[in-house]
Amino acid sequence: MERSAELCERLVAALGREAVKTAIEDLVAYSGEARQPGMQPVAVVLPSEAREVSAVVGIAHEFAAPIVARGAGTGLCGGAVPTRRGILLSFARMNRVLALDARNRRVRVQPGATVRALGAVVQECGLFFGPDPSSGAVATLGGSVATNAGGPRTNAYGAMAEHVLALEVVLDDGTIVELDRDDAGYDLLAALVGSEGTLGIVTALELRLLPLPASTRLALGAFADFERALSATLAADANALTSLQIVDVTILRALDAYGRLGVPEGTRALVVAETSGERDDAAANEAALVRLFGERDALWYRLVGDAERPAVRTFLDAAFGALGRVAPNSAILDLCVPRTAMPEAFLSIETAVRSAQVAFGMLVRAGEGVLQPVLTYNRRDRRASEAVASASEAITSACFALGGSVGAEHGFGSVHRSAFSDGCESATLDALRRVRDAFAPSRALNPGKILPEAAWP
Amino acid sequence: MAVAVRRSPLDLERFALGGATPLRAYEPRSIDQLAAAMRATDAAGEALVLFGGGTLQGFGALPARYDLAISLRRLAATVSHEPRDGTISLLAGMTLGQLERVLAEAGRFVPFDAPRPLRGTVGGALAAGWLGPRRATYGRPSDHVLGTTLVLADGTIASTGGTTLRGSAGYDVGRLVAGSLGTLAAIARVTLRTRPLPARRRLAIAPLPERTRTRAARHLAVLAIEPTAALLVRGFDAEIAGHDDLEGRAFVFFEGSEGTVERATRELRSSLGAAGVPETRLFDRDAAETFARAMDAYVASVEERSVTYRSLGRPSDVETRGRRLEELAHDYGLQSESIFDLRTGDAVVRVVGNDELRFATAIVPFDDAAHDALPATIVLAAPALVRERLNVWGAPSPGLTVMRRLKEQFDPRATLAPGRFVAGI
Repeated sequence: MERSAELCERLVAALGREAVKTAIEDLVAYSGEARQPGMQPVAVVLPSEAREVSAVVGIAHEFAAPIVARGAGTGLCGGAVPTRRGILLSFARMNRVLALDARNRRVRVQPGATVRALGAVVQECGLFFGPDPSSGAVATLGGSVATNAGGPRTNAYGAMAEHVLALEVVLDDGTIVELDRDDAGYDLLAALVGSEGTLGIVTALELRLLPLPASTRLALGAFADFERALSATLAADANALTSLQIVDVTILRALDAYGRLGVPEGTRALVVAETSGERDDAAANEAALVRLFGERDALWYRLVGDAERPAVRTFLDAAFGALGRVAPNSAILDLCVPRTAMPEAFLSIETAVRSAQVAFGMLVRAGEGVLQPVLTYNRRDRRASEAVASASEAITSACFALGGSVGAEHGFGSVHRSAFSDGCESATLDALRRVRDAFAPSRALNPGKILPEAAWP
Repeated sequence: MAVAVRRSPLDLERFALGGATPLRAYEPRSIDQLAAAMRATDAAGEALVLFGGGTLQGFGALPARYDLAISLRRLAATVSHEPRDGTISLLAGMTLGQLERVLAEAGRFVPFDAPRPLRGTVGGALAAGWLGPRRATYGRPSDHVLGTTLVLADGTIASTGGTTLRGSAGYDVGRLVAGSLGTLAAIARVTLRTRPLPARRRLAIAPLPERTRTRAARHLAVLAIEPTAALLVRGFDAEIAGHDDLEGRAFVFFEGSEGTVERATRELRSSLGAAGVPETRLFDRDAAETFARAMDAYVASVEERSVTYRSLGRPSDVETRGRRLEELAHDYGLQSESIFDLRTGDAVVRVVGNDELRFATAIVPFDDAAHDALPATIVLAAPALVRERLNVWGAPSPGLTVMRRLKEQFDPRATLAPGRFVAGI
């Protein structure tokens, strides 16, 4: 972009020097996500309020510059990674909880607030926020709404789409609108949630809160192989559980589950199941889990007390990060299949990685049929990179063949977008294009996401 | 064209909206037939209205043009149902009652809470954006939608979402079309997330003398074990059980395990007792049926002399909003009946004229006054003759510009129920 210097000057004039970063170290730091490098923006802008975001949108249009809104960069699929040089909006300064209405169980927050920070504030009033992405300690609510994240508790509480009551949005033309789910008319929030920042820029969120459950129980069950663990989770009453996860041996080793959680040697899959509710119900569900572990040949099981529960959550939150100890690079696939197709999907994943000679770890959210295989490799090894690419393609195809989908937790981003659009009928892509053109006719918001560039006229 | 075409005046009367009766009516038997019918209508520059069971056609404004009715009631079949996956795929003309039966056999349900489930269809409830009381617990009907097959105005068949419990759809077009009252696309097939039937359902009905009403409402709002629905009802004697000439009644629905429902009942009784409520009656055997029948009240009319309004808002001010509408009704010489939903915050008020003349002269001034007081109030049911004169959608949403562009993108020739939706869309 030849007019980069002029663009930066205009941004500084509108928002002040402190809010506009152009130093190379800032541009590099903000350009990528945890696992996805991205194109460096011309400027990183840190607005303090919606009006400033609106001003940035106006300036961007003058310079024909794309805008990418970014939360904490914890996405794993490159959703907030720029594909063209332009403006990157960081919401690091818009991170406050604005108003808590405990009586009506609503909270208004800025998009840069983290999921767990919100949790801490509302907990004091006996409330909690349902979605809880595993990166929630740093993941922002703006990012979560962009990807319709939900985390393991989606099993019981659903993802962001079911918890967003209203959004303040800066539209493509710079207009600031407050959209409420109770408004008469088309459900614009339904389109905005999960739209990866391509339809509008969210500058405030009103979210639904839930009463803290009277009791929460957590149980661990160790299995000698992954298939047995899968079979046990399929036999479990998933609807009675808030989360139902399986961690495979690679992740268990990387996290030293044997030392930290007392998991016995020989364990190749660990089932982690949580149940919440009224005391009697939670206790009954826990007893059912214990019976299930016994019936399904668990090597070992144990109940986790209230005091230890946060440690187990921290352990699970670190699952993907821990694979960094296994290899310098990894590709995380974010898949979902019908629950009963999970065993077949697992076999396909195993076959694909064996045939490509790729190492992998795996996290499964068995209540919803979410499979997140992590293929580990060294990017400098060209053969390994190619093998990972081919295994990823084979796994994704197998998942589609089983009636599955991609982008379960992190959206399509730049990683899954082509897999989605390749597997999508042209009429469906056309319907999506119509939605995008209704919201954002300039197509300047996070270009290259959701829809393939080639679809643009 | 291989679709059933009805032309006799008697048949067409079924599809009359207001004074407008369509010239023709189609009943396609497949999605392809539906698409062909829509494509032909669009190409001919005609306008069509989509029908499910016709139970929620009281919503919205009357269409500006109306050449053709397309009924989806023959598109009614289970496409696939795997209870262990927690999903069901079906053709959207399936009635809600049929869906309930299919799911109940497998111990599952989807909480729609829509009126007249024996006639009302899944597609119709979704298209109308129906909102029932149990959404406070389970979410909105559109929250249960995982994927849809849509037929666009030009006959294009587009599938969005999928059959899995998670996964991005790109943009959630299915949920966008839900609530569009057939003005963006036809919902032909839908995949829903299902839930296990609760072990126990119980309906508790407590007559509320007026002096106890506000206190009872306060107590009901803070129950430790929350009911899935808690309504304060006044009137609706024919539609909602428990009327006994007292000023009103609390209508509370519990779902859960045996133990939890028992404990919840004890808490409810003690809480209402402390509010001065004399008795609480329990219904177990017919609890679900009685609760479902109460949903009819939301759209039931009193002859041709009533209009039902709904004001959405915070639970904390549901009584304030509801009473405001009741007071206004009184000021304009109209009777009122009401449902205040303590969990969702919906205030539903049916205003009734003692006679047709009284109703005809008072309803429009009342409608103006109601919208002055509560601009977002919408009309749930109104006689066709007065509907044109009412502000059925309330104040326009701030997102109206985007809504108009969506209509242009999806239905550029204004084939689908033109003028039916918000702000003349």
